[in-house]
Amino acid sequence: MGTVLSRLLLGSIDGQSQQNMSALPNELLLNILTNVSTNDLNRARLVDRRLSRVANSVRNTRAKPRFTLTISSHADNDTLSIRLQRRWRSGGVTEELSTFDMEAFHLMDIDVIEIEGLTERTGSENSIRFLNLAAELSSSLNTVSELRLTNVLFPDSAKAELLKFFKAIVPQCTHVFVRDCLLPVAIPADTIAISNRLRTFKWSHSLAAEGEQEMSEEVIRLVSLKLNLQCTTVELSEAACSSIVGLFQQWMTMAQPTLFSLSLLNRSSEWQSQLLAVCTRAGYRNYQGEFEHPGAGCAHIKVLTGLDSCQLLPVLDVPAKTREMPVVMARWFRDR
Amino acid sequence: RIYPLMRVTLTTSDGASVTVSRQLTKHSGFIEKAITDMAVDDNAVPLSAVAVDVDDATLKLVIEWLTEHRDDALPYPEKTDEERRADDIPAWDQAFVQKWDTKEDQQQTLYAVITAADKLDIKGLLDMTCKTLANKINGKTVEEMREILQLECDFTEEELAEIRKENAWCEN
Repeated sequence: MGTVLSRLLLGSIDGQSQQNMSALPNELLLNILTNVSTNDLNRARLVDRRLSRVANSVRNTRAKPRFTLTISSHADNDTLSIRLQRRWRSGGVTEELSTFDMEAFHLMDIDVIEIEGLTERTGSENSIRFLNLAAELSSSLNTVSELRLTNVLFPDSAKAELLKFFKAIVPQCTHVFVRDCLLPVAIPADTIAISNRLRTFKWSHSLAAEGEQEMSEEVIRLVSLKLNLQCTTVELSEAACSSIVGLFQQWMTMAQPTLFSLSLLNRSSEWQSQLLAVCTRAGYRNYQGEFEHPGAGCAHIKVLTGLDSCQLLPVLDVPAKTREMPVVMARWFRDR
Repeated sequence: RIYPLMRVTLTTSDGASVTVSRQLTKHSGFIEKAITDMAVDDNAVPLSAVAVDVDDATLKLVIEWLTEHRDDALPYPEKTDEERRADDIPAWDQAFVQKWDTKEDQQQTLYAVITAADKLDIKGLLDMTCKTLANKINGKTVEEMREILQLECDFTEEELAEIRKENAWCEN
């Protein structure tokens, strides 16, 4: 048997056309390259044109798509539309979903939830349904990192559902944006307190019937907690002067001052001058709206006052050239 | 219902014929389809007549592999791209493939088996042989890959530089 086999093997080499990589169809090349590591794929792209094309397509399928779920209402007929945008590294494809498909949520990495343009009429029934479902699915929607509510009006009847929704989604978010919204309730303070991934929080030109003050206090507390961990960007419509001063003073006592950005909207000029007055009274040197850090001479908190808003942002000056040109400084700050 | 004792005769492109049990051929999507759809007489499947060009030597290797794997679960478990790994080839399979690795052969047999496994639709064998080939190029330089795969560079220097620049952004 052994001799027969070897004779046949030799025969096959002589008799058949040369088998090699270039004889294999593309599907088989694809099958082979799916077993190759990403770094090896990058090298395989340099081998020849055909292998390069196949390696490219393997690389593209490997980069997992992310999804943006958008709920919005059509202005003309007040119906709710649900869109799902699949974002590949190369670009996005948007597809319209007709219903909230529970199965679909389980399968996808939804990382951005957008709710926009809900009026009183569409805002009531359909959006309550969505809020309910999203809260229910929060265990499968555990990849959400961004929540955007824009131009949304929820009726008072949606309060319980909205609370449930915030509790399920906000703690996993890195970025939360609420803009031009009228809500029955703000994001609860205890939810903010456990949102340890939060880095951007913008509550702009929005009103909540209750809980807004508590929410703002908690957000500012969160910024001060994270002062030496990471830069946090916050925008608030409601804030007490005392808690801002508290944050201000905490920053002044830091050994190594860090960056953050705090915008306060809808602040009257009286409120703003009160803030400036309190900060000046606390004894920090003020030069053109910049309060100097007592320990590090090149660190300041810049207080930018405007018509109805003001912004607090630390500015760190570091010498751009150490020798001969000590006057040139590079300014580091976060203004967005 | 598959009767394990039922025999199937396969005829290869070079005229040889092999008789095997249905227990083996059930792993080949193509042969199963041929038997059920085409209503072949006396369960004789002429592989050459239906555009599957598999020679006798390759078929013998395929049957050897099938005999070892006759009790594998069907259907073959599909794996997602993330679950795939090239280093989980069973020891028997590794030894089986190693036997072909001779200087004169230059992976001819491996390519022949990959093609045959694809055409006969034997998922387990295809997966294993593709992994084997992938392992040969894993961790190799571009020149080594060209040598192993016997491919010629058909890029211009500018194109190569362009790809290298792109790669620089995604090296881990």
